[in-house]
Amino acid sequence: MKVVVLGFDGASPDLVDEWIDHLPALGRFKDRGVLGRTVPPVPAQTPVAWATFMTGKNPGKHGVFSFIARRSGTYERDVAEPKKLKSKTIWKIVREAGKKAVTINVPMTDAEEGVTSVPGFLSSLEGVPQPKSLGEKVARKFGIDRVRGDLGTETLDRVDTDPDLFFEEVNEITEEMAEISLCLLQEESWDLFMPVFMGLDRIQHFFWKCVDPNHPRHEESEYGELVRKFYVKIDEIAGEFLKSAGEDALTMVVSDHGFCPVHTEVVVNDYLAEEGFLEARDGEIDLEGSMAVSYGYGDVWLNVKGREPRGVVSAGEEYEKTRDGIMECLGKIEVGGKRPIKAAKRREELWWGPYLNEAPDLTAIFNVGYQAARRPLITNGPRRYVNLNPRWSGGHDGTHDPGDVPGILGIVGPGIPKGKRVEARLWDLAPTILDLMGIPIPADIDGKPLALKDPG
Amino acid sequence: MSGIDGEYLKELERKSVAIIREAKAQFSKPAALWSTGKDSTTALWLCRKAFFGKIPFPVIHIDTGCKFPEIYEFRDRMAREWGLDLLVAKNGEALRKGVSPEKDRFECCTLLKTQALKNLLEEERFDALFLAIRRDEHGIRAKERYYSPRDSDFKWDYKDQPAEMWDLYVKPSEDFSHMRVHPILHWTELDVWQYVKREKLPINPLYFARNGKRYRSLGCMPCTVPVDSDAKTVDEIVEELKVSRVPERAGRAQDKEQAYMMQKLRSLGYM
Repeated sequence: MKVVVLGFDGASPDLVDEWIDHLPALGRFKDRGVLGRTVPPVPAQTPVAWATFMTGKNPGKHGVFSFIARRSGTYERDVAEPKKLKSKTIWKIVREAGKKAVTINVPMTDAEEGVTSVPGFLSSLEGVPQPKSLGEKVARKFGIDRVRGDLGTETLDRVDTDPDLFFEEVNEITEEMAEISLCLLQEESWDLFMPVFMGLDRIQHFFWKCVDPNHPRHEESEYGELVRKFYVKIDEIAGEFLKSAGEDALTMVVSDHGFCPVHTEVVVNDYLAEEGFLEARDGEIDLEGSMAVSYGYGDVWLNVKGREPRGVVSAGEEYEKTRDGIMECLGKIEVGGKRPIKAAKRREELWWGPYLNEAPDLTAIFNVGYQAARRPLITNGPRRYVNLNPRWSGGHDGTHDPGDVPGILGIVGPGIPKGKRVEARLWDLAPTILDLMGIPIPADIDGKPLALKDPG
Repeated sequence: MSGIDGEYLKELERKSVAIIREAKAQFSKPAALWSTGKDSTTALWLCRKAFFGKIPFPVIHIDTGCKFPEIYEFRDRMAREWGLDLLVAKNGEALRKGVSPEKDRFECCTLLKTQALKNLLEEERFDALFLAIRRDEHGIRAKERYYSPRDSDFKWDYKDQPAEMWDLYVKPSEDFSHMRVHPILHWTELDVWQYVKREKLPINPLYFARNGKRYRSLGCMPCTVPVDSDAKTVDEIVEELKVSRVPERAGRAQDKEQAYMMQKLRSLGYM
């Protein structure tokens, strides 16, 4: 069977439920097929979660652990990018089965032989159609040499002062993406077709407080209405795809994660410094002299002898004792009488696979409402330890408990029974898609195909 | 610079000058916003070109009280040199109350920038404002909005935009406060720097690298972060931008690619 997957980065099942009466296309998923939730991996970050989606594996098997990870054997920070993805993708599996995949603006995708694609967020080829013949077609039809799949830095930098411009641009980009995708859906040959729309993620980070009445900084403003209108727009796009995909195709909607409120940022490195795990001089972190540092997501990287260039913690007993000490330190953090950190986990408690040794040694999982302050910083000012006014009012990558920020999952099409309840994990979707397409599922995939056709 | 680049800049300039002259003709009391940054300084230069050296309307600088000293110095020097009718918008009341980004970034911007401007517009009753907003990525529909109407609350409905044919434009009636006019909307960051180079425009020194860092845009001291760069002259900035964001992007240096991605993650809030 042919499959269309519509990716809506950051789409929240809570908001979809709340506004379902205004979302007729998603309503069709609910009435005629499946509309439920899917649980992202830890951490529920865009590059990690889409990597898990397209490999069917946990990060220990695909090698992408964070937006920002430590480059092995150095103290350098690396940005997640497609070439860090070490596992076979579903696009490649589909191609090897003699079928054709088309991907548009999927984060963490690059040019891949035999796959028609417009690489997405975090690719050095973002927006540049692949192969060249697709680029020529897009140029001929639309007069552009790059597809805008995301906001530019100029507009993002202005979001506080010109939110209207931000909404204007995100709407414009989304409409263009839909137009180009629908055109390629008609004109390209495909067995698996997948565009990803980034807008909701960008909008909700900045404007979550406008749609969440329980947010301590909740604002009744027209921006809440613009968020709702954007869900309506996404739904219209889903409706267009349902119309165009054809009777024989199955359509899925999926998000890599949802959202939760964020009102307080915790500067993890301040706490590490206070407990003696981190050394700082003149406000600068001494990476070589510290036992541990966080790079901004509640991730904690130890400085281990023989592993880092100037390691200070011996492998073995001292490593374990240091981890225990840090876990205890993080666990007892209190802000205004509340605990921002739900749990601190060792890497082997979160992931498994050949790339586990590239993962942060520990990860702090934050409660809803909190997230780690970004950038590896320490503060010495009056806001020491916490920032009560983060730029974002919504988050998902704090690192949060994936159960607190589930994404959406909808499936509708031939053979899908209606009203079936499905609890999925994000890595179940690749094997589910392969199963629906009649392609054998590789044995090393972590997920399991959803039992869609069983009664009940 | 090659002949083609020169022609290209001339075309950008021609279009901008036409928009500025058209807006001046359509509105009775326009004004221009000027941050002293490269974009709005370029826009002012284009206004001077449109009206043969003397800008026939006031130039507004929004002073939040926490700008870099270089901004004030540059502003006052250029105002003298170019004979600008400079108006400074300042929300004295909010500053006295002690608004700051540490307390609330959104509120800080709203009070010190938006409210300051609103107060001034109410006093002066301007009906059009020139803003140096740009689009770095070009979309497919030529839906570039050179004109953007705002109501008295500065709000604007993206669905309710006038037709994009700006020269056929008719003012909307209800609750209209002023028209925002974007004369350099079609320019990219690289275009601006190439034009600055060609026209030998004076530029705020904050844009040039010191100790391996430079500012790519100018704002208030607490909320503006410099980027890693060694570009110390306009020429070096042009070269830096050419390698860091070429559309083809084949063979781009790895560190430039990472620098661009880091910048984007910072703008998004991931860093």
